[in-house]
Amino acid sequence: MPNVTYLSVVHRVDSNHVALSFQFFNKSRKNLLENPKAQVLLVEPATFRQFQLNLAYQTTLTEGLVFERLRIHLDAVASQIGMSHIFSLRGADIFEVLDCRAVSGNVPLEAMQSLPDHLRGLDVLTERLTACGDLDALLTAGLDGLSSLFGYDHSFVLVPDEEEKHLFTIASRGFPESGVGSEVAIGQGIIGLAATQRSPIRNANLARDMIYSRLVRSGIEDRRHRDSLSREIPLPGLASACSQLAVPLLAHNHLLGVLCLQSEQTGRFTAMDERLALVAARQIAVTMAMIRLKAAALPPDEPRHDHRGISNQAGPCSLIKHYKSDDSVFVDDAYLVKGMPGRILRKIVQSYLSNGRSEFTNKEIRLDTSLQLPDIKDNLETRLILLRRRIEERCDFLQIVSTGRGRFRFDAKRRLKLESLP
Amino acid sequence: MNYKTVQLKGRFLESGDLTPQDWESFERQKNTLTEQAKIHGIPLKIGLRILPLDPVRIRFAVQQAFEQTPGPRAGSKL
Repeated sequence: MPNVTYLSVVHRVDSNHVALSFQFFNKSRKNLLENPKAQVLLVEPATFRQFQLNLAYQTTLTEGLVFERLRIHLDAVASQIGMSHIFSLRGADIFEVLDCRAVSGNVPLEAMQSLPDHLRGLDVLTERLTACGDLDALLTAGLDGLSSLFGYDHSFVLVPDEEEKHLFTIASRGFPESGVGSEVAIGQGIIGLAATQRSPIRNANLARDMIYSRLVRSGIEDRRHRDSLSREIPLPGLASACSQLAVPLLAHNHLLGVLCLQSEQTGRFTAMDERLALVAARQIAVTMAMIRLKAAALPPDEPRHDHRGISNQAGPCSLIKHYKSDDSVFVDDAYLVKGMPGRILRKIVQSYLSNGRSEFTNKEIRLDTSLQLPDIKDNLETRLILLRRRIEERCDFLQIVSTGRGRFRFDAKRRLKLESLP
Repeated sequence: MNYKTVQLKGRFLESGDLTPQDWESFERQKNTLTEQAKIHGIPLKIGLRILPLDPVRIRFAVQQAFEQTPGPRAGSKL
């Protein structure tokens, strides 16, 4: 007697084969081993067109590229909803596709759209990226280019923190709020796993993936694995994201960050978009690495020693509080930033108030032993970008302005008072 | 929209065209789907593609019922 069930993943292996996820030992599994014939009804996420595939079971893979691809995808969604390490992929069932036909009768099928010429776009994008001399310009050019050239209108870049435990958002485009400074744990959730697995993770139908996994979760909440469940992790970015593509930024297999694209449209990112994003991400990563090398090799421009920063002594005074416990900084009791950027800001404000300094170099920050900066492998620039962008967003009377290679100026339009707290 | 599913198996009795009551039921389910499609941001004309244009009425005697919701209990008898 035939058996019908929902599948979490149908992965296209090649023109004649698909891989289905094998997660649970159940009736479907037993049936399949007895009768290796199956039929799958596929729904195209963006168009809801349906296709019927007649399949013949061939083998089950428990390692290799196809297996890993399925495993990472399932692990990522499971991790996002707090089900890490509860269910592992047992295997990737490989089927030969005997027949594939569109389900007729319900809608006329549109002609396939011709593929756009992405080579031209990549040519323009990589030209723009390689022309960037600093990280800030690179991130802006990268996200702007992905939008204007390929229509990826909602994007953000995250970079690892100094302990490589979290990724924090350093740049974003196309969101009501920039989200700069928001964090995800490395190794958790879709974005965190894209980082640890060094693999792109594409969700063509994020809403479906989440609904499906939440249902599996609800089915086990009263069972033996209940204690292993952890809280669901909120996805950063669009509240109503239906598609997502997370791509690691790798240079020499060293993780420099994650590029994440989102869309409110289901099925927005196809396999072709994934390849395109991978090429763009590699170029961004390589250029990031080159910028770091250049910053380390070249001496900074000499800072100008002007003292105009403290000339404005009239008007209102703002209180900057620095908490040593986590290096969080509050301006007039409003949270601004924490961690290393917070420590750097305290140092800058202190120098500004005590010595009247407004011009600084990255090198002196890096070498300042009082800051006790960890070995951050020339990653200081990302922290300065985060600090600058957080200030831009949340504090209209403070500013950090780049004044040349490896140097910057701190401007304050109000009188400041600094208070250090435990 | 969720994936809560029950699978019914049984003996075929008859099939035929939909009765007026069947069409009413079909329309009700179509409206439910339309509402769900709206919630999930799926355009109506796309969401309705999931439905058949030529539904058939099938009557059968249920002999077995299975939990088919995705998860570890999928396939267990009810």
